[in-house]
Amino acid sequence: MLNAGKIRLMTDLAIYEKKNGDTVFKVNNFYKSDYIVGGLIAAFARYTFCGILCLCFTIFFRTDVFFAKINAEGVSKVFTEIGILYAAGLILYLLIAYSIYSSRYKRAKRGALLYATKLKRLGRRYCGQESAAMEREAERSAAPASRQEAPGRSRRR
Amino acid sequence: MIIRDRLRTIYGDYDVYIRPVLKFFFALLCILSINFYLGYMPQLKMIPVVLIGALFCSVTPAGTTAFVGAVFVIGHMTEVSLVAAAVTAFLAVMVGVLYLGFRPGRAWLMALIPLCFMWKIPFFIPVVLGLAAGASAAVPVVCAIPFWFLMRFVHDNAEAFQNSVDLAVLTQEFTTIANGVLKDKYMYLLMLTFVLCILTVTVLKRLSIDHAWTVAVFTGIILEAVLGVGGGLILGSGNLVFDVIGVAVSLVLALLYEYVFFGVDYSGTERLQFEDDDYYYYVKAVPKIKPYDEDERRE
Repeated sequence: MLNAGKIRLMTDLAIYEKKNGDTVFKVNNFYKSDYIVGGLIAAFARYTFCGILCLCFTIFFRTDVFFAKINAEGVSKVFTEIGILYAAGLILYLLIAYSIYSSRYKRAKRGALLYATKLKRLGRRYCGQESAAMEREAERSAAPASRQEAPGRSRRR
Repeated sequence: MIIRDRLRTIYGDYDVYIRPVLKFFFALLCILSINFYLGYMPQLKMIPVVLIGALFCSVTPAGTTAFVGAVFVIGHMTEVSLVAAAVTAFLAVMVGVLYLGFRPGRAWLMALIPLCFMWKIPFFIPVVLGLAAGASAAVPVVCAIPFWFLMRFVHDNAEAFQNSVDLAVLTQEFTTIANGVLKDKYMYLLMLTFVLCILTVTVLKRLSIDHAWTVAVFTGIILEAVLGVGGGLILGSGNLVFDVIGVAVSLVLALLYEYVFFGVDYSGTERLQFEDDDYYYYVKAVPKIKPYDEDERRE
């Protein structure tokens, strides 16, 4: 027989898996520090790529201005300025990335806890149903013996 | 109300088919608007190309529309100025890598915001995003606005570009574009207005007052009208007639959004108070509006 409560619970779990499965289960495989460090490394790579792209773009389109600045101020001073700019931006970007990844981890952990609770509830329902089925099975298997003992009663049924 | 409930039921039953159709029409609208506004490359205006682009977007995640839109914009710009196309591609890559690396799910906003600018209803976006998404939606809005100003600059100055591959011309065009877009005060004013509007709407809609969403919508629109339209007129960049019509249409659309997604009956508000071992609870429960009773529905 269909168990409406169990179906609702299974549907809830399936919807949750579909919506949040990717993030929650992925995050669940990591310790917090590993997850955040992984995210920060990816953010560092993204920022560095964009920094290099930005530099290439500026050098290509503002060649005259760039080399005039190098002539006027010297290579080391110009590249120190670029380095400071890059480092300042990187620190800001990594701070933002840290806050995003740490809050994402917290949210995913909370989600995983919720998912585990629902899963446990489903497990309990299954156990309940299984034990009820085992009881029925036991009754059924016990029935012929009782019939043999009391055939009149079984006939009346 | 009954229509809204039926629409929700239909969407729930047939969302497998409705989603791709909605994505198709959104992509089609984006591509046609880009073709109408820029439209310099005839190959991109051919119907099969447009349909293939929209069909591709309908079967891929919603964010693909932003990617396809960017391809169309860059394609059109290559006909006018290689530098403009390169700057657009550069901006797209920067936003894609720096922001969408964190939140790829919001890529479709990058297509929606320039689209609303093209349709002269940009003031609708921050209000709805404030209601639907919260303060974090300010980031894609700020990222998308320069794209629109770049498109507008190329559209307004198309005849001034020579589209040469000579380095001196390229450098000159780059300086023109950089000065034209980055020194446009109206762009920064709109960024500030939209961010303030999103933050205001996000804060107001969470207040425990009656009609919080309506108050948030009206406050957001008034803020935009004063800062965005008024500031635009002072800077000499806005168009009073279009802006006022745009604000009015945005208000109607935002109220429609509120009606569809936040139908509550404040007359049936319940205020409850109870406690457990750790806390006192002061609960305000506002019932959702339903077109008919649950018993009637079961029948």
